[in-house]
Amino acid sequence: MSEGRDELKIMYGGIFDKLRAPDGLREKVINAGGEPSAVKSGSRRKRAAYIKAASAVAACLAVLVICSAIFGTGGGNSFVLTASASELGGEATVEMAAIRPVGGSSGDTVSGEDEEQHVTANVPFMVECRGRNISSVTYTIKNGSFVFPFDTIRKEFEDDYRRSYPNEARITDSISAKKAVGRDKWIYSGGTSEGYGEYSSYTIDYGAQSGIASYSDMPELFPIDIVAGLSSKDDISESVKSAFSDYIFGSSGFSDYALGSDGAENERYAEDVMQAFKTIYDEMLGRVTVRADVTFNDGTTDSKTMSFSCMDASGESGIVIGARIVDEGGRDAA
Amino acid sequence: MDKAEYERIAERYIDAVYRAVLSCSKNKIDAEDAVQNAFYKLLKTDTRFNGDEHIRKWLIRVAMNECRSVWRSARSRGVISLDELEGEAEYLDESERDLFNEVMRLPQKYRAVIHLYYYEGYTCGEIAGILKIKESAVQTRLMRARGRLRERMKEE
Repeated sequence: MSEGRDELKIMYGGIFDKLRAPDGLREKVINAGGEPSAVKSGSRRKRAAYIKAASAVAACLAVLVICSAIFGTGGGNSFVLTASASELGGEATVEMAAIRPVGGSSGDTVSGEDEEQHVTANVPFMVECRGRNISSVTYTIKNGSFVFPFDTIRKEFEDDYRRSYPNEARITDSISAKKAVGRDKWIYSGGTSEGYGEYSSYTIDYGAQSGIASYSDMPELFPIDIVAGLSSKDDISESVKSAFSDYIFGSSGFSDYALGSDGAENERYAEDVMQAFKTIYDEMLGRVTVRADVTFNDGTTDSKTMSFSCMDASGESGIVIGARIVDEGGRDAA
Repeated sequence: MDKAEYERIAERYIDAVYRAVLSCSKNKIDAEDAVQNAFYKLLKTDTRFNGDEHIRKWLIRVAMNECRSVWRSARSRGVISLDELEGEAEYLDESERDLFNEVMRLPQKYRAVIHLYYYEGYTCGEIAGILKIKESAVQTRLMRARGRLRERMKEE
């Protein structure tokens, strides 16, 4: 057995030893010292070639709409909400995030087998407010919670990280991390989810929003999830109840199938389970709304309310969560 | 980090970071993006490092997280083929090509642990720290990945 492992190690190592970073990438990265923006400069252009023409046109239109809303007519206060950089409107649902419910880095938990089945979803809240003269934004959620997962990460990995990275103080310093996203203004709803706090509302300074949009580098990780739950005992239709069974049954073996490439049979299996996901997520997220209250520099306020839905679900795409504006709210004087 | 130090680090570790992200990317473009983003973050971070090995681990961890970020939101599906890497790979014989292709056909989560264990030589505990999963999960993934590779290589 160990001989086989050694052989794999030697062979695998031999293959990757022969791989080198492309010259263009090497040059771009190495020569960017002192010029951080230069590291990423080529990336977007290169990726742009892969964006379908229709998507590019749609993106351009979205940018135009946003820019005109922000910089266009008049010099007054204004704001729009964006989901994954696309403006939210009342007419169409905009893709906010795509997740893998089971087996991915984000996802959900499933519990209960007989009497009651319960599903909880963690959906990345990839919403940002953009506009003119904005001081801060308060997000308030109904039928769900905001979760700041840093506490969970800290709880689970603190010991490991302390051993491995003793100087990365910010990993274990959740207070300073939360302050960075306006922690003092977070409204704790009293709930917990696997050991970390759930919040019914949070306020963030306008300029601090970009700090929470990253999902990658742990020390700078300030993602916010929406958490929503649904029970088989809730007032739900028969089709949703039926989906619960498929979901609970299928999820135990889902990750290996859905993420692999093991042939048509597994593809079909993954698609069936994903359809169950879609039915449940549609029901679950359809109950959630988030209201964004914007305070402008002059003290006046404005608001918009958004709702969520499951736009698509397949073994290929995962679950695609969409958002749209359902209430444009109204402007209040200071 | 000053410019000279950054260039030294970039020169020293770019291949390692690139290899690591290849093991968990769906395509070459995503891999290159992940590498660039990792080094971009190195320039921006104010993390105090305990020597080069710490930087190496940090870069690999950040780059792999970049991959997961792309993978999480990506709607396309696929794996890297050797054809894509033409020009960056020295000659590989048939058995090496078979192994490479089989590894790339594994689910992403298996590829990542395979690479960190067999190429980077990290322990299961270190991999758990890099991928932010439990050590037992690393061991399980390694075992399953080895099992799948063994089965597939036997089939051919």
